[in-house]
Amino acid sequence: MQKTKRMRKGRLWSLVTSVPELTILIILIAGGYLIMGVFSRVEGTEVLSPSAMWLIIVGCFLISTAVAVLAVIGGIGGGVIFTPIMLGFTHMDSLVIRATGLVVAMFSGLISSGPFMRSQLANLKVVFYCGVPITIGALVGSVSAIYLHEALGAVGDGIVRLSLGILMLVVAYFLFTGGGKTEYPVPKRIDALSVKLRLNGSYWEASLGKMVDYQMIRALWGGILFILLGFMGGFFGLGGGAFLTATLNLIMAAPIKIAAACSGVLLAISNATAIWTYITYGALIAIFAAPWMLGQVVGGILGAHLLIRIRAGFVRKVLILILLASSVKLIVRGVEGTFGIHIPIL
Amino acid sequence: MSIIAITRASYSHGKEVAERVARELNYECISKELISLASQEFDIPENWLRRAVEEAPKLLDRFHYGKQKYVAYLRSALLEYAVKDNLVYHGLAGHLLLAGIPNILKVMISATTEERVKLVRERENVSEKEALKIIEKFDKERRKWAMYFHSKDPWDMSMYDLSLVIGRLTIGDAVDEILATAKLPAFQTTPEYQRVLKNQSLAARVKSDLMNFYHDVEVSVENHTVVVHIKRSLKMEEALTEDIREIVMHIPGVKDVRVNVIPI
Repeated sequence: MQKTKRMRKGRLWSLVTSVPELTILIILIAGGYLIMGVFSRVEGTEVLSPSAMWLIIVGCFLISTAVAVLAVIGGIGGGVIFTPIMLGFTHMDSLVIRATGLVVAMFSGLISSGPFMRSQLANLKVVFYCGVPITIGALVGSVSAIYLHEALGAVGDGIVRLSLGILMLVVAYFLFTGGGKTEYPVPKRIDALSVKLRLNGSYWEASLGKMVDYQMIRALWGGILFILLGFMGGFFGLGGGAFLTATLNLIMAAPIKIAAACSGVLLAISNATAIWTYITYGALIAIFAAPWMLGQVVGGILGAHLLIRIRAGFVRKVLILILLASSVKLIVRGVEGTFGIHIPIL
Repeated sequence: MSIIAITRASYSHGKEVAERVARELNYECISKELISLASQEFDIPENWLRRAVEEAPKLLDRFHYGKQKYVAYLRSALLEYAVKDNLVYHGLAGHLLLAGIPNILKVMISATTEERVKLVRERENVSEKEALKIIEKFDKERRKWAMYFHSKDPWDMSMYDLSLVIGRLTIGDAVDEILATAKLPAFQTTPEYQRVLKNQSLAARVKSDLMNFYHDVEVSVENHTVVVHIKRSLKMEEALTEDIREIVMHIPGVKDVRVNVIPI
């Protein structure tokens, strides 16, 4: 027991030193809040009392940490949990939720980007190639979200909730079945574009004790799909990492580890782009988004390094149930908002 | 030099057949003793293990994975025994507990309904209708058990090398049939098969130990190198590798441990 505790402490310390960018980020944000708490004067504000403000900050941080821990253990992105729950069960402005959802998804991907790049699991050529269409899609998605909000108002929000609810049903089904991913896909026919773009590589597979070479395929189809996936992320304010991994693995024949690592980095890139549209529109509220961001980092680290023995299968099932409940609520609220019908039971 | 796994339907004279085969071949014969062995080895009360093999999993069992762990313990104990060779195992799903060993002679012993009803009535002192109910209940439980743990129907005869029905055959005929088949070259233990068996035994041992912490691991062994396959987020790879190595490295026979984290 003592040995395990010591081991985990050692693991945490080695993480603090090996990923300095995250350590600095955590210290800066925590320090920022400390300074704000000591020096800021918020008495007399008509928006929030100091105690309510601190309640929001601490509450959001704790909930975000818990969500991030569960997300890592269950192998599901933080954004996919955050956005549907908040849009389904709260009355906050839908753009604020989606902007914060992008922050959650971005940091969910960001915490692993550094280690994946260093271990060369995230293939830089693949990330660059897929990064272009996904970024374009994300930007178009976020601009469309703002346009729909301005043009249609409450009806637009209803359409967003309804379509997100349906999408979440697909995500829940996909997560439940696993999507039929394969560890080492063998391409049957290699297309010229993939060869020209040199979408190939090799990585050290410790479990096999050898280098694994791979050649990816269907660069064109992959690119088109990434535009759609980027749009989905930017529009709804989620990551959709499961779809990115599936596209890279099932369509483009990347080994599952490469697909998972690249999708983490691509998430960070596309969400970082999409979020600017929301920032310029004023939909990103720092007091709400920052604790969520910090919680994702802290929870992500806790889940990935210290709480590894928690039953992943059980957590995943619970998260899928939560997703299902959120999608039902979203569909109901979407129907109510779009068609003006009141559904009393739900 | 062989291992015979006899899967028997309830009330079908399987025990008698197995014991006679073991006697004829001068092999060791085990069945319920396996539970005592596993109980001692893994320090688990016998009745917990017995329930794990005799009762089909209930809804709650799907959440805490206790029965999977106990079945892994039983497989580990049985394989440790099988390494010694010259063994007749009879009981529920021997062919499934010994899966992955190429030279095992897999036998299914059942009996005609009339024969089974007769035996139930003799042993339990019940009416014909009640006897049929008892048989049906046992068969249903066993099907559920095998489907849950191995996704295989125990009454699918394609899984067995030999399927014998008492009632159409006498116990003596069944014994003769098994003895004759056991002599075939395919069921002899060669050095290659012995190596496979030892690898499987070590893999089962490692899996049993790991299942205390990770219920969903798959383990393979080659040349004393253990490869652990586990479905988790790739973000956990480093910490998982360290933790699993810590658990596995002290097991006798293990020289190296590799962890394959399959992203979910």
